Amino acid sequence: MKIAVLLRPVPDPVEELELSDDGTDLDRDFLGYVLNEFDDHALEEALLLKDETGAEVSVWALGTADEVDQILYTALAKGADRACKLGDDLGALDSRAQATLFADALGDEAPDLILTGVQAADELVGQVAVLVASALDLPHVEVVVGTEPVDGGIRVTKEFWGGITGDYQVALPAVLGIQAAREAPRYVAVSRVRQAQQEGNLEERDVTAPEPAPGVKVVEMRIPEAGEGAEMIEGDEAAAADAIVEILRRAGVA
Amino acid sequence: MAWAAEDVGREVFLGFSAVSIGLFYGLAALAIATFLGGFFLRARKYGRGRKVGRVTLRSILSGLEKVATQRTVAKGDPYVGVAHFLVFWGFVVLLIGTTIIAIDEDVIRVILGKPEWQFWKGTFYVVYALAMDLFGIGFVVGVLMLAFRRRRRPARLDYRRVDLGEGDYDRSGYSLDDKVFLGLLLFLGVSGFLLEGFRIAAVDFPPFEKVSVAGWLVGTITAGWGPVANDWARLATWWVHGLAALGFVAYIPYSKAMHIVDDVVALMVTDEDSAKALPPVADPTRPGYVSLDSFAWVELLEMDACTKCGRCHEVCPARASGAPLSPRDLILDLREYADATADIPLWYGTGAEPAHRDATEVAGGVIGTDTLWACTTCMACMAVCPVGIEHVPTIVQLRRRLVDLGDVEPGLQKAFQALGRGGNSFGKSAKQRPRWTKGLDFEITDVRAEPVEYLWFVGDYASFDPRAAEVTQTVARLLHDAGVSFGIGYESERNAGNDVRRAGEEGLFELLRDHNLEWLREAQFSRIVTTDPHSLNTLRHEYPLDVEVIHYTQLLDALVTSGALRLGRLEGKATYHDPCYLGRYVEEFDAPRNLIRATGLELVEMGRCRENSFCCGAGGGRIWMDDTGLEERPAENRIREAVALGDDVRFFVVACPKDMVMYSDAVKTTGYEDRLEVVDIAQLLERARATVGAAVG
Repeated sequence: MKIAVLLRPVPDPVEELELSDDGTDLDRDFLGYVLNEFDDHALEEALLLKDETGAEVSVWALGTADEVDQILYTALAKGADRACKLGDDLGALDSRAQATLFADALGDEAPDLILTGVQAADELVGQVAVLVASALDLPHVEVVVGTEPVDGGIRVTKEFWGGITGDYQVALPAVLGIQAAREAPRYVAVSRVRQAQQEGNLEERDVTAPEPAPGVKVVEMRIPEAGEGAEMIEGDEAAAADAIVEILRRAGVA
Repeated sequence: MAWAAEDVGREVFLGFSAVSIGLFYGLAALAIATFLGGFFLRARKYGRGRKVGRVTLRSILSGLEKVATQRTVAKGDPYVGVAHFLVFWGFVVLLIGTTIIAIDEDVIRVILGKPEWQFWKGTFYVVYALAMDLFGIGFVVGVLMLAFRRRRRPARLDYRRVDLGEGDYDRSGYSLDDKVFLGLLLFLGVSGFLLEGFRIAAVDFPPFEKVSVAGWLVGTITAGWGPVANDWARLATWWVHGLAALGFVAYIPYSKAMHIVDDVVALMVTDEDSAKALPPVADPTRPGYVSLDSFAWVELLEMDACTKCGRCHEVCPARASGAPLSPRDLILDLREYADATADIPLWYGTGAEPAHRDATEVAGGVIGTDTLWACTTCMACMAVCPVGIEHVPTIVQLRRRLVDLGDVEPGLQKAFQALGRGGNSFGKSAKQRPRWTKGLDFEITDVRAEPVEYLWFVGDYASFDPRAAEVTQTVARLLHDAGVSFGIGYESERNAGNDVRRAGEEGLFELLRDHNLEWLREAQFSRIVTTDPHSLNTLRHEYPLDVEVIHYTQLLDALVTSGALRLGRLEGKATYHDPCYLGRYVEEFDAPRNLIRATGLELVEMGRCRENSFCCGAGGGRIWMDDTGLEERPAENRIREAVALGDDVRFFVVACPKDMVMYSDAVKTTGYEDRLEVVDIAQLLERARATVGAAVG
């Protein structure tokens, strides 16, 4: 089995985020980037499948940030067999552009399974997995919280709302949007990452960012405004209920 | 007293036939061969270990000094110290005595055939006999003292494991070995005196034998049997004593008695500083310890040196808090594994636990993962070990392997990832590090821009933890008021990596260290002062810096002494907690105490203080790990110790940001928040300064 994992760098929320001058994006000049947390889970799920079936795991990332090399080397150090960087200095790309570039690159590779995070911190809607599946005309399942290799395909657990999950048997090849791996993403020692860097087994391919397609446009971004703080309601249930009714009445909604 | 030399002495094989003598030498040869065989197996095991250069003239002399004075045995336990001193010197003198006879009889008379050169007679014999009896009496008294102590079952000699339930393991072999060893020593001593008494009675009390005080006494008791019966008793006892002695020689390398040999060498090769500056990764392609040949030969030898005295077991904060770690058991498990792997036969049958024998990995196999993560690296075990076993570096080497395998405790993994990103374990941006300075009404010099005398390496907890940051501001005000030229590295500073290194993440430590060295090398300063004892240790012992690194209490002590900081007086009693990394690691015990006394507070010591201080439980990366499974957290145990000092001890004084965090929690969880105030020394000084006007006015 060949598994391809799509890895996306996202702005590091540890840093203080600022808006660009035109107010439609983050000020990306001084941003640090880290691997999208959901993609880290996708990678972990792929590595667990590798542990179980001996699958070959390749990782793919677009050259949208300086940290991409580090992200790919870390994946290699964790146990990925191949790493490929698509393009360089591509700048920020929307979901559609990302999916197009990934799908173009993966078409010839014909992986049995494509895994990526169900969403990323910097996209509007979790669409990359869907769009890649659509471009390659493959079945897909979103919000996956576990996989199990079975004869002739893969069994996946999809999470619904309210604690409901559903199990699907999916024919391969397929695309999965991973919500969470079965286990927490593994730790990889810094020395192993450094070793991977020294080995330098990073494939690089030239790609060109597609023209922005018509779609959703950002009109304005804003920093969330701080509220005035919470009011703690004291007393037993009855007193609390009365207090809440009073607050609602004052607010004119009851 | 003067006797003719020819008349004074004794015959070794008095009344023996040639066959008997031949039989004795045959058995002696067998015993020595058995000893050498076992010795060879041990040496071969050490030979499988990694080569490290530890033997110098200085280390040999230092080891001999400790062996001769027995001070490491006596430390903290005078009763055992005296008893073991008597046994040790008794054994040495008796061994020398036997060797003298062997030289006089076997070498000079039999091998060289020069009876005229024999010297074991005359005045020499008299002095010899007196020394043998006096030291022999001491030997027997010492053995009896130790046997008596063992009968009283002291807690530290309880061999129950902390990580396995009763019945899941078998340590009866250890207890048997103890009894056989002690019993053999006692038997050898007592049978020797009986033999001497029977002989003196059999040869009708030659007056010069009065110096053989114990033998003479025995002889006067058995004299009534008559010379013939005494001579028969002598012959029988000679064989019993002789065979026991030969048996003992053969038994040494297969038993606890091997510590007689191993401990002398262990004390010569041990490195007391190996936890302060950890050994580098031996094989960068495979960090940490994997199998028997990963261990340094000194580590394998030190494992054999363990006598199961249980001192480390008793002082270990992880063990005390119910964690599955006992330094004693860790060493014994490693020894059982090493012996099983190196095919060392042990007569008493305490080999490796079956689970350990089949383990393919030492880290996580022979020694459980939870056991390895439980260590706080407080170094209390190494400080009390009488034979120089280096538990902490071995544990770190095993942790390095776990980290390389990705087998990392979840809390620790989170901390490592945060440290890799922002250089702090709080998951904060590096830019937020100097945020605590905003609460000051003066600006702190940026050492990257201006030269200063003291570069203040603030540390993670002191910068980011809200409670510790308050103390940090206090320290800043004190230094500012005292007119000290100091500055900080602002957002360039990263965690110094002390605990990252001790958690086994060597690569991350190197990243942090190299980053810090980069900005430190560009800054201009004469000395480094740090608030964090953990940073203090690694900056002083592990960073390639050629400047002095001191603790803030040392600087404050100097400022108070010089009068740069004037203090008023506080009333009341305080106790002080020695941080592991300031005390045992950097050996600064007095500066904080001087400061407390300088405030006018009366210092009341806890039982476990100075080098015997009890860890708060935060070191070695433990502060990042989950401690909800512990029966009693070490910090809570410590708070109860302080509370037991009495109602009038109001202040629990700390000198470490991590202590501030740990003990602020522990006074709450133990319910002693109203009884005891956790306060940093700097805060005490600030309060004492506030009373200056009142005292003067």
